[in-house]
Amino acid sequence: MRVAAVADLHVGLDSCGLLAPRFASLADDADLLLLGGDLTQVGAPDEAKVLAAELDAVPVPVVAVLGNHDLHQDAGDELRAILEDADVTVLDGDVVTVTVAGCSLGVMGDTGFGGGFTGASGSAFGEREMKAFMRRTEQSAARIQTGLEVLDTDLRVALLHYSPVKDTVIGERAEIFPFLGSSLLAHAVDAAGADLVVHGHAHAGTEQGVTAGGVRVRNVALPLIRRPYRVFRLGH
Amino acid sequence: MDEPPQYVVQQVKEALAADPRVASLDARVRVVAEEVYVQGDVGTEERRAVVEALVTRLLPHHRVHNDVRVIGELDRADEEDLT
Repeated sequence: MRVAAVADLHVGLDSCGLLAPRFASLADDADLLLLGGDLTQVGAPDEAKVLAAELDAVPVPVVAVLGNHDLHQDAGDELRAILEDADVTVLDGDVVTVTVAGCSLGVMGDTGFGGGFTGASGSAFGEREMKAFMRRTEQSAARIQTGLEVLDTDLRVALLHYSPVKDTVIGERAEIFPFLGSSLLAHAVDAAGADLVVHGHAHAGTEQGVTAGGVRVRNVALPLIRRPYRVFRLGH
Repeated sequence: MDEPPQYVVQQVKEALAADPRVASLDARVRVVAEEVYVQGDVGTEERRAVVEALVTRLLPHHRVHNDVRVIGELDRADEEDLT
């Protein structure tokens, strides 16, 4: 199974015609395209319509999660509806299965959230705002674990926006690591098991990482990979 | 603006994040005397021009060095074997 993945497209109203050519050879390269959030600039429905048009000719299934930019205008549901109308599966704590040539691949998709990484992580303690911040991440982690556990597929991939490991945010300023991801997400992945985690968000991060439990993690933020997408060949 | 450079940098970064034409959370801004350097990546030439206009408006007495790059031509997609 060949999985193409990219994140942080940051489509704006000035993006018409820019993306579609990048996906022209996708049918030859991959069986599936994953989009790891920050699909739009500011989460405006009109931006999602531009993206939907750009994805119209993509010949393989497209699965996406939203990122923090996509949620900026509190219009996540509207964005989701626009993209679903364009045959993009937008996951928000849920799963989808794609089968190619008898091989089934389950995708657990969730935006994730921040909090920091092992040894320097926030805690749900103190002010209610801090507790709410960390509980958001705990809820996300719980969804990721449950979603991966229910997938009875040959292969399982977690599609996130935020990073589950420090490895793939290295390159960013250390002061902002807690806003780039959380080890709680990795703990959930390791508890359930997966073949791969892909995410974005950390534009200046590092492409390759691994969870403490040995699951490969790939940061596919477009400004980092500087390719239309990365392709990962998975199988046993 | 007549503030210490550190505060000026933060004000410029917040302006670049707040303007929906740019919405950049990761621009790198450095102020050295009367010079301001802006670095980072944006998706289009239009966004690069907006960055320069915004910084020029905020810091009219500084010389603006717009080092922001447009993510244009991309390398060919390649494959990593994880089997």
